[in-house]
Amino acid sequence: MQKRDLEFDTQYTDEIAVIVTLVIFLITMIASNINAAADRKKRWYMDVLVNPNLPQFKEFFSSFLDEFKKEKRKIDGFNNKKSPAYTIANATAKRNLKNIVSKFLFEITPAYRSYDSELAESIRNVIFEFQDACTKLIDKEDINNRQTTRELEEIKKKFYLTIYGPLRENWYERISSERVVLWLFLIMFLIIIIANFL
Amino acid sequence: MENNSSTYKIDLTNFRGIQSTSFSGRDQGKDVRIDLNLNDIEKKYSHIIVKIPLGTTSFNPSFFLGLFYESIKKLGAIDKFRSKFKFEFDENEQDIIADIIEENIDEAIEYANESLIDAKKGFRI
Repeated sequence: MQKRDLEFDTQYTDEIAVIVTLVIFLITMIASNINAAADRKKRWYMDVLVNPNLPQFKEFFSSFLDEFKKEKRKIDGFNNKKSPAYTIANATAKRNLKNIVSKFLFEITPAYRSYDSELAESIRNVIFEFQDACTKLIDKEDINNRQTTRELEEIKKKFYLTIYGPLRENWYERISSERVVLWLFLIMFLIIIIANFL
Repeated sequence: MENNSSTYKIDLTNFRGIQSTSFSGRDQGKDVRIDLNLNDIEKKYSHIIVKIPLGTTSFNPSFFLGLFYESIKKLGAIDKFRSKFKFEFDENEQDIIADIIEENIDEAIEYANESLIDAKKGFRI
């Protein structure tokens, strides 16, 4: 009777080991396939949509800020801030800044829209935020340079965070296949020990 | 705000801010939409006239989208928005300023159109 129980236990333990090995194999395969596909997509995004456009991003911010400084100097040169000439100069300054934004968005967003329209919209909204901040600064009389720089830097940072957003890891990408295998080996080991004791 | 049976007039003068000559910010646009109760107004009236205050120097796309994107989405097409909403300037407004603001509005409508196309494709809510 005792011998039959022992044989049954051994057979049962063997089956568990086979099933767990199979499960480990399948999970590892799925996890590595998911990670490989995600990596391929990220590499493509980086090679096609980020790296070639980096000089253009830099150029946009620098030309926009140069234009902003130039226009601001012009605007601040007016003594009568209520004159029609001032209003025209103010509106023209904002139009010139808007034109830089429009040109940039026209060149950049179609590629991003083809990849992910929600991402393209986020990029556009950050650029609008940058435009809004500078529009307000044109009207402002006393500009605190340090605060202004910090404010614009923050929006610039937000822009790059949005651009690099698709490169951030998803929760399932954080689960490395090696870690999954280790955990499953541990679980298998515990199941075998428990099965032997039962 | 004036109105008759089918046309309602919105005056944006009170929403520009005391020292500001421009309209900017998506959230500000959304706030104005709520303050104006635009959701109800656009249901009741077939035509809406939007008065741009005298001396406005900029009508940024962020503000426009905050204020009108919901209306454009509901109407489902830019043409319908253009025939329902008309933008009007103060009679004393300088032509060059009116041209600049009209350009701002046209560009903002184009941005809204892009969002609308993407939303119809099912990419966005």
